[in-house]
Amino acid sequence: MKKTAFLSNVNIDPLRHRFENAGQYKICFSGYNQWQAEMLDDNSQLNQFCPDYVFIYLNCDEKNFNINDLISAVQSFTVKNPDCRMIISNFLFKPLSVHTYHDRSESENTEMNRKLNQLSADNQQVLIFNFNRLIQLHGYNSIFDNKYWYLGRIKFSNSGFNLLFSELNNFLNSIQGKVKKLLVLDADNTLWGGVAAEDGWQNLQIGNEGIGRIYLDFQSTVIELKKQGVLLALCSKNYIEDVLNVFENNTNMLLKWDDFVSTEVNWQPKSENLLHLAEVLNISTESMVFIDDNALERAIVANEVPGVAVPEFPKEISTLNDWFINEVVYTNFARHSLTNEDFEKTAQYQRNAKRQLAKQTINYDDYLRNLDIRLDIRSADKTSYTRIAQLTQKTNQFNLSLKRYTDIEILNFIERTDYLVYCISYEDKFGNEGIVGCSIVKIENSSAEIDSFMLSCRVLGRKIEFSFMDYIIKSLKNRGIERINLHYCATERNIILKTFLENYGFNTNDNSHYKNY
Amino acid sequence: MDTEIKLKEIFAEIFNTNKDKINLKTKQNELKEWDSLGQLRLMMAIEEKFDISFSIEEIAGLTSFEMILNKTEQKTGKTH
Repeated sequence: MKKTAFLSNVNIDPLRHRFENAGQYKICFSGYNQWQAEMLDDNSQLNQFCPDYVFIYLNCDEKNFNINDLISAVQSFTVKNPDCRMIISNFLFKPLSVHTYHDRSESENTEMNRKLNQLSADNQQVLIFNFNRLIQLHGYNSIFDNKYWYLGRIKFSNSGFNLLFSELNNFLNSIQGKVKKLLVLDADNTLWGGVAAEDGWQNLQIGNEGIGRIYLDFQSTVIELKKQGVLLALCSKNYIEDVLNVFENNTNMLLKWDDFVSTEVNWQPKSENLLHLAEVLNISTESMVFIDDNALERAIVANEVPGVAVPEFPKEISTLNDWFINEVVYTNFARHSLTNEDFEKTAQYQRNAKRQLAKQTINYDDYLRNLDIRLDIRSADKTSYTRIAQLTQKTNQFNLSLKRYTDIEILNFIERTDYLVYCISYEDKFGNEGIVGCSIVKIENSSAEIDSFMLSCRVLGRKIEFSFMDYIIKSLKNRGIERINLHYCATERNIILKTFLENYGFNTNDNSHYKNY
Repeated sequence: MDTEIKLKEIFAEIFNTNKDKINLKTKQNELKEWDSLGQLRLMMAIEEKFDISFSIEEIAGLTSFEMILNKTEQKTGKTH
């Protein structure tokens, strides 16, 4: 199973569940805003995961976002992971600006996308995911929803996530060449309006006028698809003369009889015809797509022919062509200019290019130094207890014990002499994040139990947990504490804490009780 | 009753659990994945499925299955 990782500067967790439920990829999600550290740090979750694909969505409206940071991180990561493909979403500023008609963000927007295109041209591991296409097609307001942004740093609406999920699946299929091979088409009321045997070949709706234009556009799209290498077959319940007459005599028809690799015009059940096609053409029924306006025929085929894709037919016939491209072509016949085969062909060229690239990259320590991080660690007091309670309730990833406390309970710990409560504030060149972590320690004579220890996911991947733990241990030692114990509560999401405890030098016999003495 | 069944199906899908495990008394944090993020995923899915919208205050306050059921019925006009 291919491994796909996801990076973002906003919360895209709802996408994780969609991919988990689909079960097609082994997946890895990093907490939001850790994208840069994940790519640069050799020990990060992402680097350990060794992904085949990395999807990156960065929202350029975020204050700290800088395209050059993305470029240098991607260059570094791809040098270290030469088999990984980076799928990077293109950029779009929010189409609302207080600067109204003298807003300059459009040219800035174009410039960012130009840089991204350049990156993709220079580095063959980088593919551009045209997210802006989805926004143009469905509208900004249907994809983005501010409510969940204020509640949980989620930018997209539910339908936005659905669209992103299916588009990304189609995209991943296209670069893996996982596409269908054969398009099986019904004739009456699918390729033309009307019924050949009843209306006569000369009276069908096909041509430049009225409803005929709908079918003309559809046929034209089908011909384009054929030019891209998709095989066509005709499957119609008719006498063959009636159908042949249309192809031979109706000059409005764009599709020709010869466009089809095989024609099944008879009165057999269509399911049998499809099985027959599989045999004649020596292809699997799983690589077929069946288009028919008749719901009963679709149901029988879907039921009897294993693996065949049977899309619904549009209720409103004027949507036929757009429906076909959007729901059938993108889903089943998506192609990418760079498939895996092309990718391998260019591997040689790429290795040389890589050496050049290596000169432009930056390493993780440089990145951290450049952030200009300033920490303030201190004992909690009456100004900080509500924020600390909130952290205990909301932090799921970097959280030792996952104990949840109310503000009253925190206040109580602060006032007790046998408890110590620490908090850590974070600031870097981009701004002040305020209190981003806390720890609660219970003192008993000369030993201490670290009851809680956590950091907000906003600041993970910057090694500040080491400074925080250093401070706590030093402060406890100064109080004459000799033994420090803690209990790690393992869940699916806080494994990074276990890694931290081991890297920090805590000892354990059971992966649950740790000590530092 | 229809709303209740649909909601249970949404709960089961969002929280990766069996719908028989959901009852009127089920509360936030009792299901493994019903944490603060789970709450947002749940609200998003319900809003889309029923074509309704919860206010930002409502989302914070709807912490049990029963509360969510009542609010959803109220918004879809199916209060009994």
